[in-house]
Amino acid sequence: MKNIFPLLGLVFISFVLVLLIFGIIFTIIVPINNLFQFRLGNIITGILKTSMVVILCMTWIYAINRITKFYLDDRLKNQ
Amino acid sequence: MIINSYFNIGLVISVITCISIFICTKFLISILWKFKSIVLDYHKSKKSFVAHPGGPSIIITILIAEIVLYYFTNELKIIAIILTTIIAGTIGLIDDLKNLGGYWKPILLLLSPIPIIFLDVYNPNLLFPLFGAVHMTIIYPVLILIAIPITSNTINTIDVLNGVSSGFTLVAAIPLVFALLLKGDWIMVLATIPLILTLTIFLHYHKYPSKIFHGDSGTLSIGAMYGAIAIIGGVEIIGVIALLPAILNSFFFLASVKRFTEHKLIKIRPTIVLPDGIITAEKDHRAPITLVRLIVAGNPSNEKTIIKYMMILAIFSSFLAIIVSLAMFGVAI
Repeated sequence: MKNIFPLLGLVFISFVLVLLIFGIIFTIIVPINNLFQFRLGNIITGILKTSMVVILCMTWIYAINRITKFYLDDRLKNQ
Repeated sequence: MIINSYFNIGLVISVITCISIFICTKFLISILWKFKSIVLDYHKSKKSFVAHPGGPSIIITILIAEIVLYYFTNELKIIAIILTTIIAGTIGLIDDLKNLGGYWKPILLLLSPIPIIFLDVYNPNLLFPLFGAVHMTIIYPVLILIAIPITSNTINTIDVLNGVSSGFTLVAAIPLVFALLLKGDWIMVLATIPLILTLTIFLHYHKYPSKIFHGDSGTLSIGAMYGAIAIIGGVEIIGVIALLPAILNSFFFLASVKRFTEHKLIKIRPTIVLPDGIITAEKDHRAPITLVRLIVAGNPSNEKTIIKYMMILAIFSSFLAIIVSLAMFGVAI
C-alpha cells in the first residue's frame, strides 16, 4: 500500500484543479461579452479570452506534470 | 404507474443483455481460439496467450439491448447512443484487424459523436458545481466532437492489465447512473443498464487471469458509449470526475511521449516484468509515464496487486463523482 496514498492525493489534487479551472473557464471566461467599444473590440476580446483559457489549461498541465515528475523521481531513486 | 413500466422495460433489457453477452463471449472465445486469433499476455512470467478481440460480443450485445429499448421508448437519444457506439466499435474493429496507426485512430474517432450532434439530442447548458450553469450554443457541439474520442482513447489507454478496463469503466459508470437517478432521467438510466451489465459479465471472462481481451473494438465502443451517456444525459462533469485516474493515465502518456502513438510501438516500455512475474518500473527517463509505472515505482508488485491499486483509484474517483452529483442534483430529490 506504499504508493496508493500519494496517488490518491494526486487524483484529489487534479479533481480540485479540474473543478476550479474548468469552472472558471466555462462559467466566467467563455460567457464574457465584448469588453471594448471600438471596431476591433470583438477580436481583441476573443484573443484575451483564448489567452486566459490557454494560461489556465497550461497551469493545470504544469501543476500535474510537476507533481508527477517529482513523485516518480523520488520513488525511482529508492528503487 | 410510469415507474412500474420503466421497471418492466429495465427487467426485459437486463435479461436480454445478460443472455446475449454470456452467449456471445463464450462463443467468441472458442471461435477466436479456433482461428488462432490470440495475443501474448505481456505481464505474465510464463508465456500465455489470450483470445482477442472480444469487442464484437460487446458491440452486438449493446446493439440488441439498445434496439429493444428504442422499441419500447421511441427516443432519439437511444439511436444516438447506438450509432456513436457502433461507429467507434467499427473503427476499433478495423484497428484490431489492420493496425490504423497512432494518428488515424483519433482522427477517425471524430466521426463517432456526429450522430449526437445531428440528431440534436444534447443540452448545451453545462452545469458546474459551485459555479452554476452556462449556455454554450456554439462551443458545446465542438466539445462533443472532442469529448467522445477522448473518452474512447482514455478507456483504450487504461486497458493494460487483466480486467482493468472493464472493471474501471464499470465502477466509473455507477456515478453516472446515480446522477441520472437524481435528475430523474429514467430513459438514460435504462440506456446505461446494457453498459453496466455487459461490463459486469464480460469482466468475468476478462478478470485475472483473462480468457479474452477487449481489443480496440471493445475499449473504443465502451468509451464512446460512456461519453455519449454522459453528454446526452447532461452529466458530463460527473463522467469526467469518475474517469479522472484514466484521464490522468492518458495525459501522463501523451505528455511524456509527446505524440499520438500505439503502446506496442514504444521502444522503452514503462514497466519491466521480472522472471518471477513481479512488475517493476523502468528507470530510464525516456520511458513513458503511465499509471502502472507510478504504482510500481519504488514498489515492485505482482499484476494482481497493481489491478487492486487501480480499482482503489477508480472507486475513489467515483466516490468524488457521487459527492459532486449530490451537490449538483441532490436538491432535485
